[in-house]
Amino acid sequence: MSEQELRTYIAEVFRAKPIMESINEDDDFFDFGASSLTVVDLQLDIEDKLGVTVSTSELMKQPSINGWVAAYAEKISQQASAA
Amino acid sequence: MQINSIQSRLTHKVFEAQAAAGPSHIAIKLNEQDVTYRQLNASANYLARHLLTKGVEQGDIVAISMSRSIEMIAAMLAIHKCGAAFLPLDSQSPAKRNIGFLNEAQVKVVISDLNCEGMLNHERICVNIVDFPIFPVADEHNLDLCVNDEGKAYVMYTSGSTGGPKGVVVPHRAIHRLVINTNYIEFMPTDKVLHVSSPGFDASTFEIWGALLNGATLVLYPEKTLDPNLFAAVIKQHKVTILFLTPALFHLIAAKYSAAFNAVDTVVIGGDIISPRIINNLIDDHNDITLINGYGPTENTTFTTAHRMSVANRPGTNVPIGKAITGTTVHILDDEFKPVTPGKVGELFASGSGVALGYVDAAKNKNAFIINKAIADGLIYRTGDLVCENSEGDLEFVGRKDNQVKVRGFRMSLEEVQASLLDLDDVVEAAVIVNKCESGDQQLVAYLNLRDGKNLKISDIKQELALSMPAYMIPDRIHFDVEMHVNENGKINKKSLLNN
Repeated sequence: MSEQELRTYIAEVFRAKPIMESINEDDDFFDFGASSLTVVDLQLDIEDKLGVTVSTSELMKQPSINGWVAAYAEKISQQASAA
Repeated sequence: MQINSIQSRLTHKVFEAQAAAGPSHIAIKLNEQDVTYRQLNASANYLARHLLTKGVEQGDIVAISMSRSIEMIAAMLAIHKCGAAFLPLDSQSPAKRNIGFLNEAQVKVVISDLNCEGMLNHERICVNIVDFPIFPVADEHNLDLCVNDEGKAYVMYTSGSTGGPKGVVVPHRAIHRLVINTNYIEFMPTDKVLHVSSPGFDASTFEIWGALLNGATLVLYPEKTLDPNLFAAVIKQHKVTILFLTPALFHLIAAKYSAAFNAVDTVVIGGDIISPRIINNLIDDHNDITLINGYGPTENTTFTTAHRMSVANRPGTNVPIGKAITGTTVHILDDEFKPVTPGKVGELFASGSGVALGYVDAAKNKNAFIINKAIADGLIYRTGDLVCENSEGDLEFVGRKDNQVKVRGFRMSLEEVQASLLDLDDVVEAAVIVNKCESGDQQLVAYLNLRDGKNLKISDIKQELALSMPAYMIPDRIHFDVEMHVNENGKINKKSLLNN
C-alpha cells in the first residue's frame, strides 16, 4: 500500500464514524468527541486491514489522520526493511 | 494459622493465611516479574511498620496515588495491616478533585510513586515508594493489631445524583462477601485473574481480592492505556483465566477482536447494559467460555446481583442482571417500601454483608443508606435503580429512577455536568443529554446558549471543565445556540434537542 492509499484508507475509516464525518486531515479527533474507546475502535478497524499494529498510547499521542498515517507508514516500512 | 472469628473476614488476615498455606505460590505477575505470596506479605509487613512510624493509626484513611504496580498492591495490604483504609486516587483526575477527596476524608498520609507535593499541606505527608523500596525485603513477622472486620477497608468516590461525588466507605466483611464462598464465581488457586480496571473503580475490588484472598495469581495489566493488542498479549502470555471488563470495552473487543478471549474461562462484565447479540456471538466462537453480568452500585460492594451465561444458558432478547449474590438480599419495593407484585417494576434495595458503612460525608447518607426493620435487619442501601423479576426468577434492569445515567460505564449525574457548564462565564443556558449512537456507543452532548455577542471555543470550554471534572464527565459534543423547549415542569425538553 502506497502512502497515498494508506492516507485514503485511514481517512475513510475515520469519516465512517458519524462524529467525524467532516474531519480534516490535521484536525485533532479528540475535539470531535472521540474517546479512548473510539481510538481502540478505529485502531482495530485499521489494523484488521493493514496487518500491522501500533500501540494505542502512540496513536493517542498523534490524534489526527495525518498522525496515524505517519505512525502506520513508519511501522509498515520498518516491517518491510526487517523482512 | 488460626484466625479468630472477629478477624476471620479481614482482608489482610485471609491473605496472610494464604501466604502461610502457599508461601511460594505466585501472588502477582507483572511482565516478566513474579512475586510470591511470601514476598508480597513480607513487603506489606515492612511497609506497614514504616507507615506506623509515619503516624498512620487505626481507622485512618490513607491515600494511594500510584500507577498499577506490585508496590500498589503491597501498599493496600500494608494499609490494612495498620488497621487503616485505603483511598485510591486516579493520578489523571484533576488535582482539584483529588485534593477535595483528601480533605473530605481527612487523609494525613499519601503513598505515591511520583511527585505528590501538590496534594500536601502542613497536616499531610507523602510516603514516596521510590525513596522507600519495599522489594525484596524479609519481614515475615505479621503485625498483630486488633482490627474488626466491620472496620473500613477502602473508600471509593462515585458520582452522586445530587451534589458532588460521594466517598463510599466499604468494610472488610463486604470484600470478603464479594469473593469468598460465593454463588456467581469460584476462584481456584490455579486461576490467573487480570487486574486491568482503574484502582479507583470498584471492579478492582473483584480483581485484586478475588485473586489474593483465594490463593490465586493476580496478573497486572502493565499500562495505563487499554491497548487491544497488549491486552490480548498479556492474556496469552500469562494464561489469564478470569477477567472483568465494562460493557463498552467488552462489546468492542468481543465484536472486533474476540481471539483475545481464546484461553479465558470467565469474563465478568458489569456497569451498563450488555448486548445479548454480542454475548451470543462470543459463545458461538468460544464454546467453553462463561460470561457473567455483574450488576451493582459501589455502595453494595461491586456486585449486588449476577447472571451467568454459557452455551447452556444463552441470553434471549436482553441480558438479565440475575439473582442476588451470596450474602446479599434484594428487595423490590414500591414508593411506600412495600414489595411489588412479582413481575412488576419496583426500586431495588439491597441488604446484607455487602452494604457499605455509608459515605465519608455522613450528611449524604440520608435516603441512600436506610434502616427499616420491616424490610431487613441492618443497613439497607437504596439503589435508585428500577428492576423487575422475569419468569425465570432473574432480575432485569429497567432504568434509573432519577436522572443519574451511565455513560461508557461511568455513573454520573447529568445535573452535575449541567451545573458545571452553567458555572462557565457567558453561558446562560445549558442542557446535557446522552446520545446513543447506532453502534451502541454513547455520547454526552451539551447544548449551550451564550450571552449575546459572546463566543466560546469548544476546546476552551473543555479545558475549563477539565479543571474540576474527570474526563468521562466532559461532554463529547457541544452545540451552541439551539432553541431549548421547556416542558410544563419548567425543565428543558431533552427530546426536542435530539432533533437538532
